[in-house]
Amino acid sequence: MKNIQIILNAILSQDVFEYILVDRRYRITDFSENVSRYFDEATQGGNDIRHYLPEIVGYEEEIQTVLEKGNNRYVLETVYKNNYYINIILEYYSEEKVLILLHNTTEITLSKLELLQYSNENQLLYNTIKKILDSQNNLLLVTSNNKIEYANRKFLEYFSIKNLDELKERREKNFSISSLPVKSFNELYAYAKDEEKELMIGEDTFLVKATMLETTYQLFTFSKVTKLSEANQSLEEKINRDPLTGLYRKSFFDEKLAEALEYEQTVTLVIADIDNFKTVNDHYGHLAGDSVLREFADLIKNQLRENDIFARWGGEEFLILFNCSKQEKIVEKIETIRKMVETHSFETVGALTVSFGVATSRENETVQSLLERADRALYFAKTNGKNMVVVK
Amino acid sequence: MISRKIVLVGDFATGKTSLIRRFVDNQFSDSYLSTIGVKISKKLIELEHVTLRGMIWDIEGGTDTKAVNKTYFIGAHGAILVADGTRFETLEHIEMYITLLQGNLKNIPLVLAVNKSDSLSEEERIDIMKKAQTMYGGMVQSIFLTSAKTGEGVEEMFHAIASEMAGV
Repeated sequence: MKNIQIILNAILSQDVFEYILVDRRYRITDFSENVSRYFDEATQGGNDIRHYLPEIVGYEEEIQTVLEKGNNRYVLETVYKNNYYINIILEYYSEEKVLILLHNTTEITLSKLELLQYSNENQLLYNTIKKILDSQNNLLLVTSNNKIEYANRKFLEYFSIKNLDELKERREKNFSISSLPVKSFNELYAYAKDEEKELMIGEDTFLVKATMLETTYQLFTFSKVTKLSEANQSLEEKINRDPLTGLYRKSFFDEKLAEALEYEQTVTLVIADIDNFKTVNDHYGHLAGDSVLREFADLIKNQLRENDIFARWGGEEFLILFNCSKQEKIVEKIETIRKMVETHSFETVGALTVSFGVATSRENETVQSLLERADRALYFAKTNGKNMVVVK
Repeated sequence: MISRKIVLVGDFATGKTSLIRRFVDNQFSDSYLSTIGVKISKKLIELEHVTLRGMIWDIEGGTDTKAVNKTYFIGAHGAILVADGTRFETLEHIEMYITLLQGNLKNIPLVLAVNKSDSLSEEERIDIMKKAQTMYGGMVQSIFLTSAKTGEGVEEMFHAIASEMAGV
């Protein structure tokens, strides 16, 4: 007890500690002069300590244990009280009393708070940047001194790497992502620092660009080219195709025909028209009509070569472009197709026939003139009994 | 009048201080100020048949390098676990806080606040609540989507934990 009193006097004189003595029923029996600065109101002996220090609520068991066991102490650190930060320390004082020491730690806590604020803000910023990088479609990699510092999610996914730690482990093998055809990051940086360069990784082509960050870090951006061109191709395919039959549209057909004529290739144009198709729609409905158009398109398509261009003009009219100068062979082939259609039994509607108009390009031929000739041939077939091949 | 100690725990910058400020003072500020140590706020919570004096403990958030000081949990009657709805990892960390609380306290009621709902799209709100329900539905009494900024779910959440603590 005497020792405690000495210690108390010593520390109180430095204005760092204040104290309160409480009895078994948590009533204040004594307190130091400046203790009230931590509370909203002046301290009064006899009052319940929990009124001033609600922090004690819930610690009643600990207070009783201190009284019973004598040498126990409890500390509640860094409690914000009335613009101060204090540590609350429960100490044994006597069999009937517990000493509550309030240790003023404001100065040091404010310094810690400054550091904590800085650290938390940095962590939030880091998380935000990481999220931005992870949301990028390109592969990103940051290195320093030839070692990997960061890679975004796309990069890890592409190389089937579980996480960044696993990737960093590979640095010991000096950049052992074997599918990158360079020996070191420095070499890759030298290769791609001035402009985007092509780089093959496995079977994929990438455009790689290297940027120096803050004189220490190298940022590599890998944009997959193959994937982009695949996507463009697929979009182009969609635009050029007739949604019902999957054949080319007339606009695409015209483009290809114009190209061929421009390069003075001899081509043969065939227009096919399903005979009496209107009666199919009238008798069986438009859904059955659509089904006939699809079936007809598949039937013809299977008879053509890959480089023949087969398109739907509209309604029941179709176009075929043969890149071949031997007209008699093409006519022979069309005749075979005509017979095949004649003997084919279409789902729902049964037998149908088709008429063909054929024209082969001449010198100075235009898209318009060739189409007109083939159309005249078709017209002749239609007005002379149908189900025939006519050449103009 | 009964006094009850409620602790708010969760990662740093999830909005614990802001939730308390909204509930106690009906105020909100956008600026982020880290909490160090602990600060207690008092508020009377009127329930249907009883008024409860809530001692609300705003505890310094946990970080990757610094765990929450568990001596702050001593004597708590209930806990609000706070996650930031815009940072999924803070929701994942809730499991760790539940383990910490259950290791130090016996069967106290827990509610989960998925905070910062004002920053979520309608689709994100549904998605995060589904995830929260799947992850913690069986571990907490209830889950609230909250916003200290707009006040969404704040009163309801504090009343829910108070009712649980008062046994209403």
